[in-house]
Amino acid sequence: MLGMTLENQMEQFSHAYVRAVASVAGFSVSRPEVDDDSIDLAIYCRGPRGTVRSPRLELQLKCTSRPLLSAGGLSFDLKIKNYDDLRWSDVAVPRILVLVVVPDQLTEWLEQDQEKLVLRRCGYWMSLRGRKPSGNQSTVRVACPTDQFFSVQALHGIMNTIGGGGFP
Amino acid sequence: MRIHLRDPETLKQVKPLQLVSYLRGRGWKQEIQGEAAETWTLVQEGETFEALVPLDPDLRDYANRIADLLGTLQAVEGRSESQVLSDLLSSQHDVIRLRSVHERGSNGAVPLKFGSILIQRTTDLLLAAACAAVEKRAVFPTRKPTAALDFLDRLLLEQTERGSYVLKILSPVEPLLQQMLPFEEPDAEQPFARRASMVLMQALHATRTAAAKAMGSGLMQPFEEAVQMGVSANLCEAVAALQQESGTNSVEVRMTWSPTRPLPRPIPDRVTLSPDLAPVLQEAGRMLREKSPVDDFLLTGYVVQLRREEQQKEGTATISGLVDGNVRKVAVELDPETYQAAVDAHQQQLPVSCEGELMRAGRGFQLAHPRKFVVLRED
Repeated sequence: MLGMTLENQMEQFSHAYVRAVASVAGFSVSRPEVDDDSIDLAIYCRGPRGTVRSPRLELQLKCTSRPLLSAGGLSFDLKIKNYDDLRWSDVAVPRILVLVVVPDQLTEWLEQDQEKLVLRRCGYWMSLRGRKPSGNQSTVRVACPTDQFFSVQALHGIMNTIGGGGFP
Repeated sequence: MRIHLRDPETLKQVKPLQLVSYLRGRGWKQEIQGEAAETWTLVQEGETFEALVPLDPDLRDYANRIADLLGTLQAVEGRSESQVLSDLLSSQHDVIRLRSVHERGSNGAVPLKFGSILIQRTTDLLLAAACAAVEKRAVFPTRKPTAALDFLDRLLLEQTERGSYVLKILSPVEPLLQQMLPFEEPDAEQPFARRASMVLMQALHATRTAAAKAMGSGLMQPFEEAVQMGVSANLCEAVAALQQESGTNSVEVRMTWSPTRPLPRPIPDRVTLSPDLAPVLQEAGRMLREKSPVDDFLLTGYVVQLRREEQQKEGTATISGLVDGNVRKVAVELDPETYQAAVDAHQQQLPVSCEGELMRAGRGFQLAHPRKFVVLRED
C-alpha cells in the first residue's frame, strides 16, 4: 500500500459509496472542475452530450471509523472552513454533508462473494444550510441525525425537493 | 480532447449580464427564474440543453457555476472552452479582427516595424469609418468630429490571435436590454459605436466592389458613387497604406457583431482585400481628394487677374497661391466691396489672403464662400 494513507483510503471509499448510490438512483456524479476543498462531488441529471441538467446537488464527504453517538446523532468535528462553506445559503446549487461511517478494521470495510458486494457500514447526510457562524477557531462539532441514511431512496427524495425549488 | 478551465479568478471575470446576453444572442430561452440563479434552455436537433445562470458574482459557488456553463457551451457549440470564454467576455463588444498575411512573417509573428504600421493604419481605417458614420464625405479634414474621436478612444486592442497575424479590436456596444426581433431598430437609433462598425464593413465591401469596377473600366467614378456607402479618400488611403507599408499580402477584416444587440439590417461580416487593390485605392484616394472641397482653406497669394462684367458690381479675382505645395490659380467670386479691395491689392502689388471651400472647377480651382479677405501690408 505504498503511499496510500488510511485517510486516502477513507476518502476514496466514501467516494465509491456515494457513486454506488447515485448510480443506482440514476444520477451522474462528477468532481467539481474548480479546485474547491469544500465540495468533493456533484450529483446531477445527465443532459444531452453529457451536459449537466437540474436538479443538482453538491456534496462534501467525511469518513470516520469512530463516530461519537450523542443525543443529536453522530457527532464529529468539522474544520471551520468546511463548516462555513456548507452553512452559506448564497449558493446557486444546494450543498449537503455526507458522513460515511466505516468499521475500525480495514478488512471489514468490504465483503464480496459471487452473490453480493457489501460496503460497510453506512452513510448519513445532513444539511448545514443557514447555520449560525461559530466562534470556534479550528473545528466545529456537528451532529448528523442517525435516521438520515444516504440511500437510493433518500437521494431521490433530496433531488425531488431540489427539483421543486426547495432545499434539502 | 476537452480542456477545462479551472482558475476561479479567470472564471469570475464573466459577469451575469454577459452570460445572459450571450445566451439570448444564441437562441437560449429563460425558463425558470430562481432566487440565486436562472435556468435557461436551448433546443437543438430535438435535444434540450440546460444552463444554470448564477445571478450574483458574490455567490459562493459562482466560479463553479461558470465552469459548468463553459462545459455545457463547449458541448453545445463544439468548440473549446477558451474560445467560448473569450467570446463571453467580449459579448458586449463588436469584435473586429484584421487578419494579415505577411511575406516575412513566421510562426504567428511579424517583423516589429510592420506590427507598428499595422496598428497605425488600422487605427486610420477605423477613424475613417467612424467619420463616415457622422457624415458621408469624400474627404475628411484633419480636424475630425468629436463623436468619431470618442469612438476611437473607447476601442480596445485585445491579445493578438494566431492564424497568420490577427489584430483583435474590441468596440464596446451598449446592450439592447429588452428582447427585440432582429432588423427592428432603425440605423439612426443604433448607438454610435455600432453605426461606426456597420459603416466600416459596408464601406470596405463597397471599396472592393468599386475597385473591381474601376479596374474593369479604367474609370474612378465608382468610388465617387461609393462615398454614400461610407467610402472616403481617408479610408482608401488607409487600406492602401496597410497593404503597401506593412509588408502585407492580403488583408481580411472580419466582424463579430455583439450578440447583445441585433443588427438592424444585413451587413457583410467579412471582407477580403487582395494586394492588387492597393494601387487602385491609392489613386481613388487622390481622385476623391481632388474632386472634393477642402473646408476652411486659407489661400494666400497675389491677385493675378480681375474680371467684372458690364453693369455688375461684384467680380471675380484670380489669386495665384499654394495648393498642395504647388502654385495654382484659384478663382474667387467677390462682393463689390471686397472686389474693390482686390483691385487695390493688385495695383499696389500686395499679397492677399482669403478663406473658403477650395474645390476643383474644370481644369483649375475655385474658392467658394470666400470670407476674411485681407490685404497683407508690410508693417
